[in-house]
Amino acid sequence: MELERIKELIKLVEESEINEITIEENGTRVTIRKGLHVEQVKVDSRAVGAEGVTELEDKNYPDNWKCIVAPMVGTFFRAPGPDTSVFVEEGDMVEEGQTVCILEAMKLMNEIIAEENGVVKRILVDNGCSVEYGQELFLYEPAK
Amino acid sequence: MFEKILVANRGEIAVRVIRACKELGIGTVAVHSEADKNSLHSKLADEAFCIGPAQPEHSYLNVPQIISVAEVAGVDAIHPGYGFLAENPQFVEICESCNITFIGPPASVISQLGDKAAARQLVMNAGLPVLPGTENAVKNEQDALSVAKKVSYPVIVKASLGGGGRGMRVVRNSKELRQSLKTASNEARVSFGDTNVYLEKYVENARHVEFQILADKYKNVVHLGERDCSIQRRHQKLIEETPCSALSKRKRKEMGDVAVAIARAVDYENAGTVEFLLDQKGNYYFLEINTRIQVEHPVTEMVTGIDLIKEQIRLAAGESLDLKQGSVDMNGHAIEFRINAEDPKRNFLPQGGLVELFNPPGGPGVRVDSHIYSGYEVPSYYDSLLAKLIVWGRTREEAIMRSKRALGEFIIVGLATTIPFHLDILDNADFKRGHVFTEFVSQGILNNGAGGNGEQART
Repeated sequence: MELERIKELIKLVEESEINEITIEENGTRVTIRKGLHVEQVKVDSRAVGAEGVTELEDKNYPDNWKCIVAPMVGTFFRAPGPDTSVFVEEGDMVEEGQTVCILEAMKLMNEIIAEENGVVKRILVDNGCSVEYGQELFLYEPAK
Repeated sequence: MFEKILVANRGEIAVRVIRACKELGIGTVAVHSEADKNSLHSKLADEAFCIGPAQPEHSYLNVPQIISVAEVAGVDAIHPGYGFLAENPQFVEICESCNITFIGPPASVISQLGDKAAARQLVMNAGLPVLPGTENAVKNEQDALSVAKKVSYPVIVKASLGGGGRGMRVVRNSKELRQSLKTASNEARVSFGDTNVYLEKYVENARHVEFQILADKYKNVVHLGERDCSIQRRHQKLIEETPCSALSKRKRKEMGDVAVAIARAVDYENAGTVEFLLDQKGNYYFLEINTRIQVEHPVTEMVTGIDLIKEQIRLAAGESLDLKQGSVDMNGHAIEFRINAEDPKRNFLPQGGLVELFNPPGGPGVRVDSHIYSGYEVPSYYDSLLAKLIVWGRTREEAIMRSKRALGEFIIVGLATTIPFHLDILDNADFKRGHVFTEFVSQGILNNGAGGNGEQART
């Protein structure tokens, strides 16, 4: 999406009562929220998160690594909000019950939690991508 | 017109809807359970989402998941197919509140007609013929017994929220009735969440004749002729054909007009089917209205040349019906055979499994609607329908010869199917004469392939 266009959109939001607007054009989605944060996200037109698939198909990771999968359909977010830091990075240690991401569906934010202690090894889905039921989200190595 | 449609179904009907969308240049979104990962409908759609494990209540009936997909994929309409959520008024309302068009009648119409006892009463009050029976739902045991005595046995007990051949029991005396009232009520509670049942006189040797309706949002309604669905097993249709051999031109017009009048009376929209019972004397009685596209819709398509799924989509998008009753032309004869993964030799035992080879028939006047392909694993969680074979001929005789030819070419290796059973029926003397009725199967075709001189062997 062109910068000019984004500037137009920002102006539109500023001058109106709109608090938030999302426009999707030609595979790019732009969300503008008042507070002047602009987030440009590439939207995958094919539902399945393409990046995750090759990694797992090749299975070039150790046998003891486990997967956190999506229990529902939704949009994958790595952080609680647009301005805040992500829940986890690759290499982070997570505890059982710790939130690793959000799946948003129908305006509801669902926190996805780690089922056991471990270390996040791979993050398989891009921020803002849609995921389906059963889709692999994270690879982690369980703590001993 | 819609840009993207989500098909909230599976199997052959999902494939059917996707085909219509592609022909209209509309984007398609499929949903599938984990068991349906390799299903044809998912492969054909532009986008596909897994929405849950195999069990229908966690996948194809999972409204939040389906709506989530509709949202992330940005669809503007949902086609529900038949079964699953097709006649669920709450689902329709949820779609409406999410600004997604539901391709079918409005929630209020589905709700009203989904109560079969109430729909019957509505038609009765409009002065249109219904079978003798209770006015609405059965009030209590005494009420049931006295009505049964009045209309005389046998009677049939039906669940008010049932329909589609489910939740029905035939009873022949007061003792059976007392017993059946309790079990039918209980079954109704479990299957439909409601214990209400109603009673109708049970007419033996009757035909099941239904009329296809199309209605736009501007009160224009037409009928596209009838389908004779009398060949059934346990109230499930096996073979459907059009036209019905027992209808004269005049009777057809009369029943068609009644079907349209009923649709008008309830402000019907989109596609629907008005079902009648036709007795041996030529009297017809309203049974129920199906507020969805039906499995057997292709037989109507073959004789009218009208694509019913495309019509559904157009009507839902707000287009007006450009058909006038006078311009609906019925040409030739069409027969549909439901090919199920059931073994006729083992009492129609349904069984999934790997289809090693699937080679459907071809040639003039032969259509196959199916989701099966060679190498496909048929899951055991859903219905047993593998394919619909629809055959057209200029006359019924030609359609029958062509059906035998087509069924003979139809190769399905790896599963037992009902193809041999259909071939037996085609050889039956009564069937060839067009002498069909709903007890056709139960009364002897299974044990006595040849049929004889019009006497059906009683089992």
